[in-house]
Amino acid sequence: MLRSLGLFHDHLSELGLWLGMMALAALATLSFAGTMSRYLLSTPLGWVPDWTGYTLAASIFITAPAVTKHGQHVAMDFIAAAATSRTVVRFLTGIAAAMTFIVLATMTWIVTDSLLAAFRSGTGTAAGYPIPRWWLLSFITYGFGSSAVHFLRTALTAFLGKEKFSDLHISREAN
Amino acid sequence: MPIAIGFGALALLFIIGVPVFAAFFGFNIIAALGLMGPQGLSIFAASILDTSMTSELVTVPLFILLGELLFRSGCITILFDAVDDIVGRIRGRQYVIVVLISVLLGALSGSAVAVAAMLGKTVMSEAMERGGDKRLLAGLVLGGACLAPIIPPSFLIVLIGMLSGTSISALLAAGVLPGLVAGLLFFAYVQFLLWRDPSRDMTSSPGKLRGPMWKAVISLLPFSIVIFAVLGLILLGIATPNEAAACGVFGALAVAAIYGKLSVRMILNSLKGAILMSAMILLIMAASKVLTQLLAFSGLTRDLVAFLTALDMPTVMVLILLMIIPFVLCMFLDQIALLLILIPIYTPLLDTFGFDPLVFWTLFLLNLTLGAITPPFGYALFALGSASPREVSLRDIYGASWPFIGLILLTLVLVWAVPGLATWLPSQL
Amino acid sequence: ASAETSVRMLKTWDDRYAGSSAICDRYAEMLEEASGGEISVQMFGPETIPPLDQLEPVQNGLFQVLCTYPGFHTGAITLLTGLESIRPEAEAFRDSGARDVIDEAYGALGVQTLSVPLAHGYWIYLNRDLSDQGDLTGLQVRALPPQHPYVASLGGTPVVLPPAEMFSALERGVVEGAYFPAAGATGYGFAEVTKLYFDTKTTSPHIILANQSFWDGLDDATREVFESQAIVLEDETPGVYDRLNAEEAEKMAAAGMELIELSDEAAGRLAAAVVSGSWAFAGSRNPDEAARMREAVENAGLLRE
Ligand code: NA
Ligand code: NA
Repeated sequence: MLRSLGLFHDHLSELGLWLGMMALAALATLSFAGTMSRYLLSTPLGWVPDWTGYTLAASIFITAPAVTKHGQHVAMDFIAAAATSRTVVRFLTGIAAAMTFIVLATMTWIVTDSLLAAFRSGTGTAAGYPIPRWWLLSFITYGFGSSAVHFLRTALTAFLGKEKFSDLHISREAN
Repeated sequence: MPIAIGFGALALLFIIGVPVFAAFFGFNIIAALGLMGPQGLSIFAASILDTSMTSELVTVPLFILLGELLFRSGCITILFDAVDDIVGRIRGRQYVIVVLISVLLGALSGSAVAVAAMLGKTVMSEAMERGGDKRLLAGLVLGGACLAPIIPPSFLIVLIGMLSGTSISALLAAGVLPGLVAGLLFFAYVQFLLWRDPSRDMTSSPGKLRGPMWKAVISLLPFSIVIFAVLGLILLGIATPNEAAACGVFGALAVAAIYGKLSVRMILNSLKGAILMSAMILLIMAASKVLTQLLAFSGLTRDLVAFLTALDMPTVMVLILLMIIPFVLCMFLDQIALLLILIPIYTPLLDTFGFDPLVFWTLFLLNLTLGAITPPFGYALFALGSASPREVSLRDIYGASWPFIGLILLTLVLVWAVPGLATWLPSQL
Repeated sequence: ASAETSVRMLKTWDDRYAGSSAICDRYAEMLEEASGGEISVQMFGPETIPPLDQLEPVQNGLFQVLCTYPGFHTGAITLLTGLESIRPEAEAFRDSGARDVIDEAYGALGVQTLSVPLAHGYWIYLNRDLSDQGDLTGLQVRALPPQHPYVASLGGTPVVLPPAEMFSALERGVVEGAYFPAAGATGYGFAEVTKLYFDTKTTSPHIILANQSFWDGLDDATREVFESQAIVLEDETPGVYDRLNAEEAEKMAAAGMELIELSDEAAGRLAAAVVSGSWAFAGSRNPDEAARMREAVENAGLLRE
């Protein structure tokens, strides 16, 4: 049960990464098309800057869980790098992951609160081509929430052992 | 007081190895609760959304993608080899090549973070494979990254010009010579270091020349597509930095195609690498933006500046103080947010103390760029940490940054002593 | 004598925009003075909360008062854009009944409207001459989306650019013009990057808001201070801006900028577009209120022709 939940979470994060990659491709293409349209066809695409911003925000947070899963976050590594014992590294990794989980869980709660408020009020972005703010806040909430779960799994793995909760590479964390 | 407790928590979170962006958010939660109460937390979501949907920030992922495409296609290796052949026999030639490429790429981008990430992914791993000293290389890359906001095109210069009411074109021109001076200092530093300790020179490939120089020059030609797409379009007034970066990405695709290295797999891998790194950097930026807002709310930064400038001191001391403030704050704060806070306070002081705006703001800019490479919080450090090969740790990068911080500070002193470095080129416009 | 009231006031601008001091700081000063120091105001700027995010922290009480431009919270309410089409006459505006509509619409968002200072105006800055038709045909002009119909009515192509890119875009000729407030133009650096400008004869509505429960908790005497000073502020603002704009025009001339006039025909097209465009945008989130407010200002004869 736990294992399949974990697998589902991992697959979801990978799907997010693919969506983030597509979003980046879209950002490059959108900006390029906007430039060409403006200068070759003299028809500026007014919606490009706003939608560039929306796509960027969505891509950052849809990718965030994969950043965690792939161990791509930058951390200060002084102590873990100095430690030689695998048990110490495991313990430090667990503590760091647990603290990170607490921070990110709190962040998830904070942004969920804003998400619900934005959903109720129906506030849009203050832009020329507005969209409901809760659309974007959903991505942010997902990004924090799913990353928090990854860190929780890392902490459990570090403290309770083996690859039961997460296949996260501890050596990568200790980099 | 909440700020002090917050900083204590931040330091603790950093030491146990909590990722940088999460540690920042930990600080923010504590400081907001202390300063504003539970309501303070309600500003977080809006601020994060605001930062992450800033369309100008798209330049960051696009420049990283441009670097990924050039590297993963193997094109940077061709550039590296070509510059290699052109440089010829010189002491520490591999390091000199890094300086040259740093200057070249730095002059194409306005973002120290993007350049640090791009060079970390490309030139640095190349040079390390050839037996380069990782610390010296990391330092050179950080120094090279610093040149990006100084030499035009530069997004920071436009902001400073706008905020301070100084001519933007004059300010852009003012940055060129100081940027080149800094590049020369890096070159001289490498020569000095290797003259003192020749063993640090690379042992492998001590200058094997693959072919005649004209062949090297021809193999560089396709890169002019990228250079034109980025620098040319901006200077000719065809595109904004975002659009130019996007054209650069398509230019890189064209270069890869010319060298027959275009493939779906390569493009997908580049997209993957670029979005992972961009998300990591922009998360830190979002966290740091909230932190800056909390500091502004606490009045700490403003009070500090007001206090220091109220002291009755000679002009030179005032200048030094005015430069120390951004140097220190930049270690902790977002550069653009710092611009927002300091420039309106500094601008009236220029008249009061009779500082030349071009010289003053160029010094200020050099100072700000230092913020990106000064431990513990400089963005470029994190970007390089993530982009560089695995055996380069953040600790290595911290250590590597100090000599180059010293060299940029030396540039600062030179610009102050010889104001013509900043004022001559603008006077020719 | 009122009880001691301390106010955290949030403003949208840094000091480059004249309204920052002429409206926000000025109102804070008047409150402190008129209350004999009973009201004390602590001011926070855009470095604390970015301009586009400022309504929310006032709605939930983190700040008690907000001094802003309605264009920065169009995600929540678009109503006030319509006022770009009216003449800035404070008393006639108050008498028109438009304020009732505004109070009601903003009240629904959990904020009390304190003051709606109207100021004159916006200029279009150009880095090259008008077209042969004497308008913006063939020119790309940077403007915020609500104002795109104004640019289009003159044959121009409206372009969206972030402020940070606007000046370098003008300087390098990426765009040929920009629609921007008159007040503070030289401070922003327009004289460096453009050479001509003309008056669009549009109005900038500003708005000062209070958190509702803060307002409900005030005693009558303190409220009286807020209300009476709001009237003083609204009455003096158009005159202050006329003076500021005249000073600005002098600075522009000194910096080599030339003031040009549109032909009557082109100016007529622009005026019609300002009326239809501003009310269309005002109605995009608030269709009923916009219709009622337009009727009120139209009956009061405030609409520009
Ligand atoms: Na640059
Ligand atoms: Na690394």
